[in-house]
Amino acid sequence: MKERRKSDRADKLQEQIPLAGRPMTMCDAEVNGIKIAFDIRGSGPPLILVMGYRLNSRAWPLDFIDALAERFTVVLFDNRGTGLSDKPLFGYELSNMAKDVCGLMDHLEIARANVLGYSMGGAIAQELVCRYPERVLSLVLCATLCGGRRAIYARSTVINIMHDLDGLDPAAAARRIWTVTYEPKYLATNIDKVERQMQRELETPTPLHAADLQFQAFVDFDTSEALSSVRSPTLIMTGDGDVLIPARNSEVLAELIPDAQLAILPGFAHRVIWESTGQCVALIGNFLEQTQAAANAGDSYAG
Amino acid sequence: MRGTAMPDDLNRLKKRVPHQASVSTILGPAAGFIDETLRTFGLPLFWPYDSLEAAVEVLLNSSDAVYRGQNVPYGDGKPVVLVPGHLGGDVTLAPLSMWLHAIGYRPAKSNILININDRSLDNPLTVASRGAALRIGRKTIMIAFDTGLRSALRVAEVEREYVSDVIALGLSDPMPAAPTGVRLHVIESARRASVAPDQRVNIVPGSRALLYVNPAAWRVLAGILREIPITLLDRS
Repeated sequence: MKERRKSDRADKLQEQIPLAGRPMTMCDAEVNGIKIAFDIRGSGPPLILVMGYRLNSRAWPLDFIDALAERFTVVLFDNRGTGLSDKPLFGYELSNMAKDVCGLMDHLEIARANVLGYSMGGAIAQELVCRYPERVLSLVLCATLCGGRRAIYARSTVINIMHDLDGLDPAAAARRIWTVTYEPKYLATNIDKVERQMQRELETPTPLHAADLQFQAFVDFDTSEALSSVRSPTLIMTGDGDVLIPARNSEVLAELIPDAQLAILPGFAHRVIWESTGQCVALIGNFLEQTQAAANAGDSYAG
Repeated sequence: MRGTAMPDDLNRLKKRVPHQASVSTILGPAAGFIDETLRTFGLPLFWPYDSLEAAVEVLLNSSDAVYRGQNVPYGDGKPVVLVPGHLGGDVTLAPLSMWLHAIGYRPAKSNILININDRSLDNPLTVASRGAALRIGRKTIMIAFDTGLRSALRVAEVEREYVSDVIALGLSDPMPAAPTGVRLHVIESARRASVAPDQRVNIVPGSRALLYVNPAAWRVLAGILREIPITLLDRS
């Protein structure tokens, strides 16, 4: 199986910066009519990471990226409206943001890739696998939902904390959001780490219009009807203490996606990847390697 | 959903709808308040019947899914200023304001206690629309009820830097002209269709007096708001 076509552009990037542990150096690609900023790290089968609502690629925990980069060619990018990517006033429908991902794969000449989506990024990953199934080797959905009638939305008090941020400076808004994204005990004992994480995320703050349009797109999103057609091996993971996207949503996803694996990590909240990085890396790494082994053995889903 | 009334059609519309002699032209400017009240709520003789009819309408509509935010498109956080109609104020617009907030917009109070004379709305509306636009960094949408539309259009004309669209919920006068650079959208009760005969005006069932809580009007309103593109303020 040829997972990744020979790509001068991607290879050149990897030659320059092949190893984990270096600072982020973003490159640009003209994709789907806008500029998308991306970064490539490590070597191995391609793994594209799709970030969630309002966050850019700098938000991924550094040790998470470093650990994955030891086993995979990790592709990080800023969703439209965030980080160093363009911030247009249009095109935030998640299906179109999935098209951005597909366009980035074209730019990097990656024919098929493993895709990991976190939160709203998980919704984009679902759109990607439903619309371009041939491009997704395997799928990891973290702390996400399917939208529509099958989705279990957070309580209005939680939604209001996420959405009613008018008049707050970016740091105050981020601290307000922490209360529903981090597990309270983790937050109390890791406040310095969380603060540093926030500073990194706020280096390129997301403009209000982009945040609003992403939120609108996330509300409109619904793949509940389409997920039964997914044939890519899928891992669904979440924390059982997630109040923003309740863990029940992951159970629903596991019911909808044929043969999906489900991992609900006890004691973690929406930011499960940040709170339990080692456990998540192990789960994701093992799942992707398992999938790879099955594909190499000529399993039908690898095409 | 029907489209938006465009300024090109307005002169034609004005000609089509003849101006009727009002009470104020007969009794003088002092009778303006009575004139507006009669134009808005009809003759007092019919008020008991109208009240009963309004109560029935409210009862029939009370369980409409629109009030729970269902079957309406979610908003993109645009700032919205509500302009009350005759004898209305921020309090009467509170249900619509809360609903707009729930479906993803940023309604701003216009700080109008009661609209007795639409001329008195100009200052608070200017402050509200400019403040909302500057706070969010985008042009504001004004949603105006009957006589409030006059003030909304006056303010929009002057403040076009901060106002992109005016949505009229009920017309108190024949179709007005939209200020240059500002889009005008109209939602009108089917019972006043003669005032707004153009097919591109959004006609909804139900009484005119209850347009501000009419679920059909809210549904159309959500559709219009969704279609209005975000316009960022020119910060340069």
